[in-house]
Amino acid sequence: MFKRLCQVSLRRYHPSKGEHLNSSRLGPLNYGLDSPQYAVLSHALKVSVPVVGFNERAIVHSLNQLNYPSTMLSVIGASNSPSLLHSSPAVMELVKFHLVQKRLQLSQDLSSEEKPSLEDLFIKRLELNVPIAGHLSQLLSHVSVPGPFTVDTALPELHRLSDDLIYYSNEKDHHDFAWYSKRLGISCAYVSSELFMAQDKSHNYEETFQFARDKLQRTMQLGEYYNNTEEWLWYTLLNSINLAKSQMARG
Amino acid sequence: MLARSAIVRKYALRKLASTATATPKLTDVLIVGGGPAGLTLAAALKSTPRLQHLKTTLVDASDLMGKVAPFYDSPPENFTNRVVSLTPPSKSFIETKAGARMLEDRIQPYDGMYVTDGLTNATLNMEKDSMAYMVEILNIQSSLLKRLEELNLPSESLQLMDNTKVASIEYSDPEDTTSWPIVTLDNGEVFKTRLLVGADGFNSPVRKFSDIQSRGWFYNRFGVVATMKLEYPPYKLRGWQRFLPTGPIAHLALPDDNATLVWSTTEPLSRLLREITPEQFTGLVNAAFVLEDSDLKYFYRQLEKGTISNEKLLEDINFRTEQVYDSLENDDLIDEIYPPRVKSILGPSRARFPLKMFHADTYCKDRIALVGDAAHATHPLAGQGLNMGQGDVEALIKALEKASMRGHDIGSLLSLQPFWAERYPINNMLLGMTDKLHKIYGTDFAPIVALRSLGVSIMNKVGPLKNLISGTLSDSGK
Repeated sequence: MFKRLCQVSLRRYHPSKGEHLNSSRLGPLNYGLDSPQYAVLSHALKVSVPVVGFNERAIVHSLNQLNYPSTMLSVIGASNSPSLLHSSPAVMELVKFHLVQKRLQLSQDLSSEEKPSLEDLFIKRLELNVPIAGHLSQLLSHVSVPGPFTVDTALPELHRLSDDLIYYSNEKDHHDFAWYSKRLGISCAYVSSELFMAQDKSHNYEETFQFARDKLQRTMQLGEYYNNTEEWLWYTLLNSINLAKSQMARG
Repeated sequence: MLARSAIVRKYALRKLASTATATPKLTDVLIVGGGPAGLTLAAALKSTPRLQHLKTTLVDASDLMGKVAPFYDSPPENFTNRVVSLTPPSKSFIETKAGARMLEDRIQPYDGMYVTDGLTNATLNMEKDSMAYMVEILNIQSSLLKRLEELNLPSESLQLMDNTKVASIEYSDPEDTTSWPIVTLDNGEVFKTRLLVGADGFNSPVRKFSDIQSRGWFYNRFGVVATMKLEYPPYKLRGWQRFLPTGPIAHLALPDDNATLVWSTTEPLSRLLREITPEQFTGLVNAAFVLEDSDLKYFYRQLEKGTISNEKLLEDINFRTEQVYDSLENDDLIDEIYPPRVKSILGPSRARFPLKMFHADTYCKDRIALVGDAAHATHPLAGQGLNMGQGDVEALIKALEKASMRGHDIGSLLSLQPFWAERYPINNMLLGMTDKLHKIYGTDFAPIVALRSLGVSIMNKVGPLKNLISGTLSDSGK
């Protein structure tokens, strides 16, 4: 009786790490690093997509290479609902995998002592696109077809990317409305840089990186204009009050 | 034996106890900071019949007696790099109310300002005889110290404590903010004061103690100062200022073939300006008043990369300058629209400091008054910073005089408020004007450049408007 009571009290009211296995799922994906899905999709992204682009053939090619039956194609896309207006669920999964995995890769090998600048991280993320840059327009059309995929996956993923870019860089973060504007500004700069990259024919995508730097700088400049204006308005308001006070003092 | 050691111990204990709770010395006015504002206040207090009786203590962290005071009797041959523009009201206040006589042969009056736009060459030519005086800060400080020395006051009347910092300030009754503040110094001395004056600069400990907020911003620009030797004494005694897109550069006359420079610029450029050789710096100063912005940008880039040699740079600057001179209608214009050429700069005289604009919410609280940089900081482009401080001191003396005449407590808010009421609007106006000038000239956005150039050209044609501006500058808004 007493022993049982003791045992009961050992269970904690709040969930604790000791009582649960850590989930091996990777963020918004439904599978972990050691799953077959991960193996197939990362192989596809590394080997097949640079050759054939974002389509079913890339996945089938990887399945064959890794000695999986090609029927696994239907399993890979299982988490996405089929859509008449969009491509196959498996391709959607491949796109989603690309977005999530590249974002996670960004924060993997960061040193904890010195945070990189926002610009460095931004450029680093674009550099991760280089192997598939030839098929970037295909990817962008996949994510921008209006529908559930854009709303449920592509846009949240874009938001998570700009959030990560700020969180992992030495950029100052805010607790007011600037929190939203800053992320929105960075998201816009990122999308336009990707669009530029899709059309870029320059050597090593130099023009893209130049474009991205300029774009980011202009976005931050805009933020600075806003901050200066706000600061000035506050100063002027308080100063006017002080001026009135000083004249009402027993002069 | 035992008894004796007990007595010794008792004596030692008592002595220890008495130093730990040293009874504070009483003083009427305790001035923290021996800069131009603090020293002027001390000298003016001791020279004003109605305030002479106030027991005054001045505390300063630097070596006033050892380093500043000797300047008066044995000034160095060369001019020092901290030079300010002193307006006629400030000068006459120092001379009449504070009673100091500055070294006249090291003061240069100038008869106007010649202000140009670095992008469009729109010009504002203000002319006014003895618009202001260029004076070394050391000249002001040492003449005030001399004055205090000559008054030959007993230490009950005036106590000057240099090499001393304020360790802590607290109210004698923590509950009551109208109680006398107790100021502990780092040499162990403790003062209890009727009025505590903060003349202790931008990072004012007195302001922090008083909980008075100071609002404003850093410009992210730096001022580079230097003392220069000219090729020949100037033909026209005036200040020259050119608004480059990176910030204004000003060439101001000192006696004979000397001049001083204030070059406000961006952070990386100010670092570059300090690192290059004196010859390169001299070349750039000459170039900055004559050549176009694109030429200057080219020189900065070359100097940053270190891809240009001394001779090459100077040759290039001379070549381009000659080209500009040749394009003028006649050679007389050279002396008319450009400052005299600089021959060299004094080696160690280059220094830089950050530029900012700050204004305290109020200048006084019960038992506390703030003057000078403790209350406000400004961009040096209009040459008003020190003069605003002198204006503060003048108004404070006036307020104290009135309070003392009426038998008020000089530390009460009632006595101090007239000082705030008089100075706040004037300082606010000068700070705002300087800040707006900085903002209008800090951009190369074409419509604004066109508008400002048009505005300046119109102002240059309309006499009364021009006189209003030069008047405001030369009497610090009074």
